Amino acid sequence: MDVPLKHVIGTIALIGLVIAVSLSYSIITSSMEADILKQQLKQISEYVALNLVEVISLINFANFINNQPMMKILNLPSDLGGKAYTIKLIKVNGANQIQEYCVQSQLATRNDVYARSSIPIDAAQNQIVIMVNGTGTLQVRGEEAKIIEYSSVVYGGTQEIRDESGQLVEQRFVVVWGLKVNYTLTYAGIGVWKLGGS
Amino acid sequence: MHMYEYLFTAILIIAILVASSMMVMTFPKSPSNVSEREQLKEVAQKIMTQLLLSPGEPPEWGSDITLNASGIVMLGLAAYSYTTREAYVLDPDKVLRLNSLLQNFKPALYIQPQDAIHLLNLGNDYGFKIEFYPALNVTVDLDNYKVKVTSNYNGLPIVGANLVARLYYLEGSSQIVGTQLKTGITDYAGECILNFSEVSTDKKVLTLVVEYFGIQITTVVASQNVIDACFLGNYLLLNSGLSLSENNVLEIYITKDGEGQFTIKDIAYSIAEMGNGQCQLSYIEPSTKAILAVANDNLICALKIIPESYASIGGDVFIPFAYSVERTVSIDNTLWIVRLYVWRMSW
Repeated sequence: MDVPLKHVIGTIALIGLVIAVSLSYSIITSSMEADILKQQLKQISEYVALNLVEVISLINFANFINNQPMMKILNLPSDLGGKAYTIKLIKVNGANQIQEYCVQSQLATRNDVYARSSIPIDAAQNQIVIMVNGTGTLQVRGEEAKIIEYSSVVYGGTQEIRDESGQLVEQRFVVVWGLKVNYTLTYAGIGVWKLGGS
Repeated sequence: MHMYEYLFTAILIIAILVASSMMVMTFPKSPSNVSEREQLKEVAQKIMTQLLLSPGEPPEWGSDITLNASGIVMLGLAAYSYTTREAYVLDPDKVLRLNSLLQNFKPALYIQPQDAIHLLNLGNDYGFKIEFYPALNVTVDLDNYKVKVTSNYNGLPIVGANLVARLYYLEGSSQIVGTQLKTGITDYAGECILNFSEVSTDKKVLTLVVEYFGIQITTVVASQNVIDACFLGNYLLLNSGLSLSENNVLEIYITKDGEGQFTIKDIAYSIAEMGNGQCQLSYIEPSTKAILAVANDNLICALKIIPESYASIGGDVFIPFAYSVERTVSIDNTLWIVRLYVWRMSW
């Protein structure tokens, strides 16, 4: 059967157009999904920044100089639409080239999808130091088994550790903490509240 | 199929893509707007916590007249103490630095709202407005010494508030005299008339303490012929061009007597002029509410004036979609209500 060439070209063009349309549609929806995720990440960043400021104010008010940290467990979603995310403390150049501390939440698999919330503390001062570098552990008074493992980056949400039978062994919470070393120096940061030694 | 049918099909497919994309784009708009407004709540609480619970850095930046906005590293209005501190107690010097009236005396001390935005790391994303309201409204008519005390809510009269007052006036050209302490209780209309009929001059300052079930409001009202000034830390700030007639000033302060009742007292301290309207006091009595001085046969009344509002945008405007947070604070033993509005500069 002879098929005119123009029909072949036309049909192939239509099929190509359908494929191109579906690809462009997926790009559009992907970009919209990223915008929605940025909104949610922004909300998480604001929540963490607010709690960090409150812990710093609380620890300075209490004049809690016994080398004991004060912490607050954060109520964060475990994921965003099935996607894991991280919370990071960073130092960036803000307006007028003033260095400022920020809480940055971003998707674990996409560095371009992130949101920041600034902390109203000048990074140039040295009375309050936000831990944007380094890792370590902190012991909380009255707690024998659990420690705070602090770092500048944590995964968001409560982690549940289960054994082979599915029984819940441990829950690890994201916390904000503050530690007043002396009258002129306070450390603060984020970390994970977990069983010590594991 | 003819060529036109292929073209028509292609156009139809593209039209379906465009229409469905536009419809899908509108879906997340309203939950996104709700989410952005929710974020305002957290931003407002963060700023409020920082302002009211942090003394800032340097911790006593309010009373340091050598520091302008560029010398402040961290903004906070809380009163600083080396040992113990109380929550929601603000430093009156720091709050005074937010009052634009300070520009009449020493402009460098006034913290511009743009500087406050930079210190709070708000960038260009947010605007804010802080309002200060006294816990009770106290109005004084110096012609008949009628005091009216009302609530902030619908102006309801406050009945049974205790008043303690003392009137200071200029006798002759250089002597500041204080009357006997007068007391009173507000009636059903929230009013009370104090008897200062023995004073006839029009250069007078009334210091009034209102106490109502633990709420303390201190008001200092000066007559129109009295020259305004302010004091910050250990310094008296005058309009340049004024020169004090005496080397002493009278500090008016509030204290409690042996029976636990409020009383108004005064004490004289020496003062040294430093030029440019700036004078250094030898000592500032704690709880000083006003400083009276004499210059060129005129009575000067220096106060720490709490600003009514402090905003990143000028004028009395209504801000749509702003989130507000309110706290009750104590400034110099007087109860105030602080209201913070935060809004996004762009949506």
